[in-house]
Amino acid sequence: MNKDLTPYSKRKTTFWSTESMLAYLLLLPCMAILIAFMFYPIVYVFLMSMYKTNRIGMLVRFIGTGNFRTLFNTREFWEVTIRSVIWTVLAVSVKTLVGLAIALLLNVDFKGRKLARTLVILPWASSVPVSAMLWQWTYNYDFGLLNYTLKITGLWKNPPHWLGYPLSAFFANLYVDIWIGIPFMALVFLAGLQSIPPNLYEAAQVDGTNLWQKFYYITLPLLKPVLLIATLLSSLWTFNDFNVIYILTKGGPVNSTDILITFIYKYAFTFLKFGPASAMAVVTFAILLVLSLIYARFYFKIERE
Amino acid sequence: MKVGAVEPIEKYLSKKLLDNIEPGAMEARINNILYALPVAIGPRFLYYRTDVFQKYGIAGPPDTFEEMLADAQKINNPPNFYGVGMSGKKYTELTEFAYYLLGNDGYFFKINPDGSYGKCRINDEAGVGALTFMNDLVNKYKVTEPGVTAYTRDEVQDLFVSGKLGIMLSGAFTESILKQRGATFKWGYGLIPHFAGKHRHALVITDSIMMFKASKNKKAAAKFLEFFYQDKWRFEFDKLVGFPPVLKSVGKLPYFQAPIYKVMVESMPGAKGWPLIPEWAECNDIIWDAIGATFLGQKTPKQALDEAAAKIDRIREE
Amino acid sequence: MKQKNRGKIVIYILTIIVLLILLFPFFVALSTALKPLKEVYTSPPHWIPHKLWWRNFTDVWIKYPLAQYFVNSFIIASGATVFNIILCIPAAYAVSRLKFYGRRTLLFSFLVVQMFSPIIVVISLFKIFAKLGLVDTLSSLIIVNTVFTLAFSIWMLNGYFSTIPIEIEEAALIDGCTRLKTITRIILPIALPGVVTTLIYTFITAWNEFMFALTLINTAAKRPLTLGLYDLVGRWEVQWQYLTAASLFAIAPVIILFILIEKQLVKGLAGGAIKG
Repeated sequence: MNKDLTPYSKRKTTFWSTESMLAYLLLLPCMAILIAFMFYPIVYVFLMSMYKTNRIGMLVRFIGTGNFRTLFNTREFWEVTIRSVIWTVLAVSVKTLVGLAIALLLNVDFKGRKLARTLVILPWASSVPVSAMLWQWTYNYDFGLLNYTLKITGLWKNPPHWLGYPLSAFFANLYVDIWIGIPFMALVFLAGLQSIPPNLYEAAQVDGTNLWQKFYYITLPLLKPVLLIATLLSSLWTFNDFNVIYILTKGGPVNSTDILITFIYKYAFTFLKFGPASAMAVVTFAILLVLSLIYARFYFKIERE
Repeated sequence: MKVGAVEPIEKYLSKKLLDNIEPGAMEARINNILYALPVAIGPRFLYYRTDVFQKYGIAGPPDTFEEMLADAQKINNPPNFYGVGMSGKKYTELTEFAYYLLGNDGYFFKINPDGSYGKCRINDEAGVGALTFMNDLVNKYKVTEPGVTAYTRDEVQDLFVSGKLGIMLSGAFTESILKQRGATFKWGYGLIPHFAGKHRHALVITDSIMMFKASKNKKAAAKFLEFFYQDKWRFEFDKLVGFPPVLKSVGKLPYFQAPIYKVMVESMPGAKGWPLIPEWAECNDIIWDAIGATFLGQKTPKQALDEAAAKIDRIREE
Repeated sequence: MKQKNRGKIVIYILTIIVLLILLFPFFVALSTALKPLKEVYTSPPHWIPHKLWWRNFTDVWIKYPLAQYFVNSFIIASGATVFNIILCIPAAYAVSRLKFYGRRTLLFSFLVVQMFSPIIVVISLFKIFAKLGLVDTLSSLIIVNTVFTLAFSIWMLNGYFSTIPIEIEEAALIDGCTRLKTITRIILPIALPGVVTTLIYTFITAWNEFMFALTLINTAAKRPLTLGLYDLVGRWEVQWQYLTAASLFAIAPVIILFILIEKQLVKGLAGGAIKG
């Protein structure tokens, strides 16, 4: 029975206080599972990256940086990594911009707004693997309705074999990833927009500022924390978007749409090369860790403001 | 097989059973030891539009690949109708390439005297010739559907069944799909072509049944196999699956004398199967990449195959 | 007045365009699901079926083991949700209410874990499950889905718990309540919307999971919906009218659940970034 009544922020933290012990107890079951099925496997992956492994994943011989050296000497690895970065930057930028635009649109009070808001969720709500399959069918050159619609509306006279050529396949994949991610952005920004006190805008109206200035000087700054969180989460998810690419093109044609995560999967489960796959996984982790640290810096800076 | 889980099967079975099986179907023979019995064989052959051929005055199915090209050029009518189907999208089977490679007297690996596989030979004259021909069909003569790298074997099949292709190399399953989708055009069958001056080697895919070393009652398992391979059960199975019979005795039954089965049976002698090596999945992947890169114009056939062969030899050495 | 109306019209047009683009594949799915096989494979295709082929929606249950896939998905998702909630409520309470050594690091590590994403770990997890003899079992997927939604759930619940004023709890503690009682009698009821949201989000995440199912499940009868449908695409011939019908069935439950929790979810995700 804890009758500690000092204000929350002033309580001292010692390792052995009753409060700490209670906390550890409450955390124990959860941490046990996490350690067994998350942290230990992570450690094992780090280990595998430094060993030569056999086809069933057993450690054979310690080779330290051997896997990494081979990796950095493989051209495909660099292609895939750079592509992953481009993929993430492009996707997140478009998602953010379009999401913001839609949020602004939905922020206006009009009849049917609620329905529109619910419908906008659909790409995010439906199961990614299933949606990807639907897109695969939509992208079909001969029988799919996308090209047909583009042709008859005159939007695109001669649409390509989307999933057949490297460039179009990349953008086809990108579009689906963006399509799935837009609702999240739109909704988060909408929530952010709605928390901006309207009297700020009213005051600006009195001062005679126009729409653009209102947006730039009021909306954007107040949205900054939301923008940051949303783009960070989105970057993490997008970088590791396995489902879309795997289902649409499996990394093809000729590996031109492989990003790190699909490439790792291929190495591990098609080729059974667990050593190099683990090394790549470690590299992925490193990249994302750096990214998160940069974001964390920005975020805590804003929190202090 | 290296992992030692599968029991060599020969000594458990009667000579009568073993002799009754089509030799071309005995794929599961590695280093001359038989590990499994074929359950279903999927020979591959050629489908063509008899109505279209008739319209252009072409007599029958092409015998050589060169003839096939000539026929395809005659009937090619873009953008609604194309001469021959070609798949360029990575798939679990290398079938398209295999047809041309085998028809050019090529193979994936050199076969050593003891039956084991030697160096990769897809980049020898036969291999490069096959891929060059395929690439010419697509990019030089343009008698295939465009965008081949977007089509897997199944999707080429969809094109043929919806009436957009004149010739297609495939297996027995296409027949059932043609019937199912109520295709109204007329089609016929032929053997997989070969290159002029080379031998005809069709491709045969088998699914096998094997016995595990850990199996406690090997004698009973063997008895089951003898039973399973009795004519009347095999007949029912083959009828159901639509595949041609594995047993010579069943092959003689009247049901299997229909034209499509005739063609399948005819295609068996000289048929070859996939190489049975543990790294095949990776080799498959590498070869597909070479083919795709060629079709996309990223590499020449020789370049692509040279690189692929080198990669394959490297991973087999590990 | 005129300008306001014109503005409104523009808004409506924009909204409709946005919705048409966003919902495009669902329209495609509906169009295909209502066609018979022969119509599906016509080139060029057409939008409106010549006759509305509703039978596909019933035939698909006979043609494919859709019911089995549903059952599997349900078992996995509910299993994961139950374990998740049992583990994460105490953990989130500890993180949100108690001061202890390493609290900040723990919170940060939960964020870090998001970055790992299953892929990095699937390689070794496969080995671990192989050792435990759990490969190709639904249990392995229940465990995996529990584990990989834990960090997120704790983060979210922490956010929801933290919005409850500490004074309420302190008052209860003065009155002689045990910690346990405060959790169950005070915190949970107030944070109920947040808890339910997290619960449902876990369920949805597990329902939609694909990669682990792909890696760990071999037997056809054990496939969850995501894997089952994917596998059907790889066959000799894909019957898209059935697949689209099946897809619509597969995503309907998640869409409904999602709409229920969407508001709370967004609040939780944006967390402390949005004040209020």
